[in-house]
Amino acid sequence: MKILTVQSLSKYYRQYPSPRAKLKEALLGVKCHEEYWALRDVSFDLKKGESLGIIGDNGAGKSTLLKLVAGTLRPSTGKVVCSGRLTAILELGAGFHPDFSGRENTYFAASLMGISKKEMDEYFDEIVSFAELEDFIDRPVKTYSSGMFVRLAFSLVTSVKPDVLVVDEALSVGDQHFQKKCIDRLTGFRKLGCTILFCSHSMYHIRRLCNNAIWLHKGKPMALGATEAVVGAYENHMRSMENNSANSGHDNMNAEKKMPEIAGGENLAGLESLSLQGISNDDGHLLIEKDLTVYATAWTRDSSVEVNFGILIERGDGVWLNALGTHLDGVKPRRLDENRWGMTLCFKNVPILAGEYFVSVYLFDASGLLVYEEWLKHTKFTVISPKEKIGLVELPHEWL
Amino acid sequence: MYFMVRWRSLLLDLTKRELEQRYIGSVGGIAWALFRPALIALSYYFVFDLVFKVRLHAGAGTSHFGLYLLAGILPWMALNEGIITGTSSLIDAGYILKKTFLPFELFPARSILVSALPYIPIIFLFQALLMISTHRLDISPVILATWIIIQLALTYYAAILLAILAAAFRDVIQFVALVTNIWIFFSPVFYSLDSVPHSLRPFLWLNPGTPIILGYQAIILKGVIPGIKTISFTFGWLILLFCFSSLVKKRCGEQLVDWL
Repeated sequence: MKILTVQSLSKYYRQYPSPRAKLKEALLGVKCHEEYWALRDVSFDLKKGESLGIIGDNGAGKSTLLKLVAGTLRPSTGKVVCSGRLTAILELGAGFHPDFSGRENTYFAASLMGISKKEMDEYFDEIVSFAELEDFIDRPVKTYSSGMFVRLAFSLVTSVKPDVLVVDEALSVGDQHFQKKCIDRLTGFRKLGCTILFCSHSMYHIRRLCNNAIWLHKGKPMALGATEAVVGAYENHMRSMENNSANSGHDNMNAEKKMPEIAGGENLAGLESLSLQGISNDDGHLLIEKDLTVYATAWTRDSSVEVNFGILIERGDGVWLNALGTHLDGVKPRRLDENRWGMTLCFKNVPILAGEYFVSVYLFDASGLLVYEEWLKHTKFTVISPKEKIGLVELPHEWL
Repeated sequence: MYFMVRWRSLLLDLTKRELEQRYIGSVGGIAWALFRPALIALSYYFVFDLVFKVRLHAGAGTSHFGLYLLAGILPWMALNEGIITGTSSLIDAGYILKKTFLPFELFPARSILVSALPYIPIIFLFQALLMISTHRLDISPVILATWIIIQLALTYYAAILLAILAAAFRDVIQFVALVTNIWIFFSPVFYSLDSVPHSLRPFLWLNPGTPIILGYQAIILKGVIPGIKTISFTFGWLILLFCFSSLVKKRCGEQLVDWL
């Protein structure tokens, strides 16, 4: 059953050189504007339980597409048909007024969302307890911290289970503890068969969350289909961009790879140590053994928190060699004691050739969606290979 | 008008909140909204009836100039304020309209309600006092209520029209501010229509405020249904504004929110 249909959706803005030109056009009917197409001819449909990731460079039209689907922008052509309740987590706290109490704002914002007062009476206590604002709900919102503000807003928009959820990289709300709750709630919706439209710069999250993806470039759809194919095509494009413009492209590439950062607050878990075995102890950090072993440990606030580790090896110029995760391989990290976790990863017969390499470590939550902490390019090692070995890696081979 | 029925509860919520927002944190709260029209009414009465003792000729409906003035100026202020706040209503509500999918008409409607609501009880109170003091008993409060609804409808369509135009051209706000400053002098508020030279009277009828104000004066001061000319001009303006606002609404369509 199709739940969301997007049909040749386009949005253009008329750009006038001056207000006078606009008046001239309005009065005389002479065309004085240039058209700027933010989105051009996008079509797709989603069934119940499917999730679509939207990827693309900055200004590719990702937000425009989300806003059109959410209904906060009116399309220039085409249409969006949604049969069911749609919730958009785009800009949290629309319609909140700082002088009103959390309670008044919640009721008012709910009425803007089309939830009646009677319905709201049912949800209200749950919203407040999810946002953990029981003691503050009758105080004016202007006395809230920014974290409390978004907590209330998030709790409100997700209080009713939607059929379609539109999310714009909203995975970073409040502190770690609350982020975890948000992710659990969103993945919970997904398990209940909620259709998700998700836009992110993090290819990692797109891969984890979406079965399908759409790649937008300058407003036009470049590829639409299974996530891996589309993300692969996009990453190819990113790499060629990087080659074309060494500077700007490079910054962009780094931004794409960056995992979401954690806002301050009380942390649930964090990294403790990262060490490599198989490299020399001097300043050269030379790889001196055939095998490279990576050790990492992490702490958690209490024994109920479970973690996953991610290890990334990249070359000095930012080319990723390999990114591995305990959750990706279905391995459980070792529990060292009540509140400590550890992992050991061994690369046998490391096939990489001469160059400078960096090891980054990520600490994920149990679902692998929330990054508790990341140590980027934390440890360096250098490989010197014999003259006759050319290239990036030595692939397993055999001359026949 | 169907729109008003469909969205009435949200419209009332928005209006209530807007009124509360103005006076939030004050001890008097919403009561302040009533003080202003009440104080203005008392001041005019004091100056023109108790100090100057200006008297009018018989046709005006009352011989007291202060009372005549009040019957016109209270609705006029509601009208004027509605037009001014209505014109900028869409631009002011841009932050909500861009983040939600509400029909934009709610916001001009809210503006005119917020402007008119404080005056309505004062107008009724004024009429009641007048009826008691002249020992008059008739159905004029019912006619008054009808006339108020007609005024709100007329202001609503004018506000929609002006608000869309203001969204497209910010100049409209300046223009409206300028016109509303002098508007009162071309409406029969400070004078009666009879005292205007014959040759100039047709021009005053071009002002949509003229038939509205004349209607209020007839209802409040004389307790009668407004004359046929007053009613036809009022409805003429209502239909004209309805058509114009619908036309402009249709032409702007999806672009409107982008302009905010």
